[in-house]
Amino acid sequence: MNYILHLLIYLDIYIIITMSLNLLVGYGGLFQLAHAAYYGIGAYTTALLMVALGWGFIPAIICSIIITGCLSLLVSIPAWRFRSDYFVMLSLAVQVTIYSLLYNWTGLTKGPFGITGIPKPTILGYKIDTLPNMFILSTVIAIICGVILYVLLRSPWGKALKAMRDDELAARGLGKNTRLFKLQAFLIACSMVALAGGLYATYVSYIDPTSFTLDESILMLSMVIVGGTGNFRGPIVGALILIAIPEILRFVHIPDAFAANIRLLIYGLLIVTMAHFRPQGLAGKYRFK
Amino acid sequence: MDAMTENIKRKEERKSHADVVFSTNNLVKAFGGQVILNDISFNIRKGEVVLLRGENGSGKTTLVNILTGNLEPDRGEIHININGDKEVFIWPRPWWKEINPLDHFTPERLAWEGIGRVWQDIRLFPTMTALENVVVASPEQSGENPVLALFSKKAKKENRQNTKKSSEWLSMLGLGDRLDSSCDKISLGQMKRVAIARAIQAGAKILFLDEPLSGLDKEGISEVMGYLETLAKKNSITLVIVEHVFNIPTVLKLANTVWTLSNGKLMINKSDETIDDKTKEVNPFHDLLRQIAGENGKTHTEKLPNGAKLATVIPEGLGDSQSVLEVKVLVVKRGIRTVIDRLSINLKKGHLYILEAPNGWGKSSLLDVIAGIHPLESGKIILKGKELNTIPTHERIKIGLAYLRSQQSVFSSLSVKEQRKLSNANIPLFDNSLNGKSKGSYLSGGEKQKLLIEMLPEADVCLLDEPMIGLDKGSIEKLVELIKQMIEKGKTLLITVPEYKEV
Repeated sequence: MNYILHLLIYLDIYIIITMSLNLLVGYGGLFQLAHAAYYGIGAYTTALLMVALGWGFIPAIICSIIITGCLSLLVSIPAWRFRSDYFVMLSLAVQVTIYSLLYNWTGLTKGPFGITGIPKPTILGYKIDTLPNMFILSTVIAIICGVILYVLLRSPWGKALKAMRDDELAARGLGKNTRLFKLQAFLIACSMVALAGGLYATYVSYIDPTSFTLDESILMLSMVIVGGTGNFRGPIVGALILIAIPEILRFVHIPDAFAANIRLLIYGLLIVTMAHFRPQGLAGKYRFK
Repeated sequence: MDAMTENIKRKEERKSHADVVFSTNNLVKAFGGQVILNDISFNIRKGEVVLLRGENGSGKTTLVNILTGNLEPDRGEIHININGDKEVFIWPRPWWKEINPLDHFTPERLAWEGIGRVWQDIRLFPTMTALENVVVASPEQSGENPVLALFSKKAKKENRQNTKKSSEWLSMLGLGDRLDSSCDKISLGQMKRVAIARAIQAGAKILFLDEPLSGLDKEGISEVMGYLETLAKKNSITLVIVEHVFNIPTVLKLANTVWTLSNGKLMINKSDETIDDKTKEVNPFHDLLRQIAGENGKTHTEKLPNGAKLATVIPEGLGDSQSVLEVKVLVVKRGIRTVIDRLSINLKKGHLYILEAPNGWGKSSLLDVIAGIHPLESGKIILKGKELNTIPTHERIKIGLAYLRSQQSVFSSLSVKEQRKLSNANIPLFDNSLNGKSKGSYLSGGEKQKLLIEMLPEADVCLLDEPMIGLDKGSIEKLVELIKQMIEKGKTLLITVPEYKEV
């Protein structure tokens, strides 16, 4: 039972991550490769504020959302000018830079040793230190994020974002300030992934830079692409499948030395197969070009 | 008496000046040293309908790009006075304006001033419905602020009002039953009407329309023209219409001013002063049939399903010849919609075929299927005795097929010279009117079409999808000459044209 709850908490965290990434990739047409870096900033800010300064969970999470939101300018401002491949390269550079900072700024992040002893979340004096309670918290947060995105994407803001994705020049010709939409989309997506990061840090109690590498960004993007972009079901389906794959492999009794490689091989095959046979993903709507 | 006349004159001048909503002074634009627009000055008045015409590559699209904020001129001034707030842009711009991100000459800034554009390639948002395309254009929506979108009731109410207004616009355009149709599934005429409604919903008071009638059948043309007339006369919206030579007579019925771009200069006339040979009714297809058939040639027309006609021209001296391309009981689908249902045609060597059909009939789909670009649902396609169903496009070209698509897609990053080299097109067909050094992306619509015609490979069967789109009168004559030569060489041609009354 605990194992299932543990997986469901992970699933909740990844649903928040993929929904926020889908806002950029599926609705905004912005192929972001630095999402794991922002996930890391959220996790590290929450952890440092709670461990070093002794802040409570809620103020630490709010502060981490604000800091990550501000740092989202690192990708949103270049997105004004750069599109498609060039933007991918730029977000890749941001990912690598932030990862290097997390790894090498040992004075603050303790580098490869990571941060240990992150306290469990406490909300209104109630400590969430059991698996069922943590599952309830992560599910509530995932639902709140889902509702916010659902309302936003059905509003004129969401429609304008889709218009920008479909044809930016035509949208600008209709008076849409696409620079502002990009800024807002990154701000919302990075804030949400910071929230997921904070949740992750307090759940596992220990973080180090290896959880926020480029591989992690690629995994997040794979979830969105495999599940499908441009609607709500897609990212959830993608997160479910890509979390399930390594867990299923555990029961196949593959030697440990090969398991990680086989997992990567399956991810790669999945993406290539999806790109060829179903570019809009398993449950997606928008055919990412 | 003189003083009185002068007074009246001055008053009229003042009144006329007060009506000016958009003007330019000495606009200059050059690309790579070649001056495209040279000292362009004009005034546009409220409710005026302007026809902008010119040969291919004369700079019509460049001018429209500048006037809608998509391109900056090298020198000159633009004055906008639509909403009472005068806005002036002067080039060259001082450096401190260049670095100010809030003071740029952009399409969105001009859209806020009330300038709209309907693009030649329409550019609807393909993943949205017709209604969503129009609603999204509504200006100053509170719901475009994410915080208000989440919490404000006013934003939701405003959105409902915009949806209502947009559906009224679309219903007025005869699209009341297509509100929820996806924009990539409606016909070209409907797309053009949605694009006009979208620009109006965005608050356009001056609307630039780039070839709004091209590719439309006679019904589509009368629908769009009727709507433009309502906009100009009832809603006092100023229209600047760039139109192709075939449709100029139609636009002249509505236009009161004609701008002619030639050698970088703009000539401005009243519309009744410009009935010259360039604007007389042109029916190129009728001429084509007559010219190719010759005095003793035969022509006959066969009726196809859903209002299409296939005219066949058998040149003089050529009797019944062997089949080169057979289409048997062809069924083609686009998504869930059946576009072509059990069509059979048989094309013979040395004959010219003109397929005339209303928009949405599936002309382009038919040619795409023959060329192997779009899959067929069922049926058979046989080229020179070989069944093509499972053969990829490049193999079909080797067997003897050439295809000119209507999308005007040239290689944007290659120069004209490089593209000619790539396709072994050694002889420029249009009197060197294309600059060999120009990159594909800088070519005008007409120039792209010329290049694509030059690049057509030698083949036994040529499929030409609306080959005259974007071409000026001289180039059409060249094309007709080329088609004539191909027929004389024994090639088979299948040309599609929009529904045209006289054919």
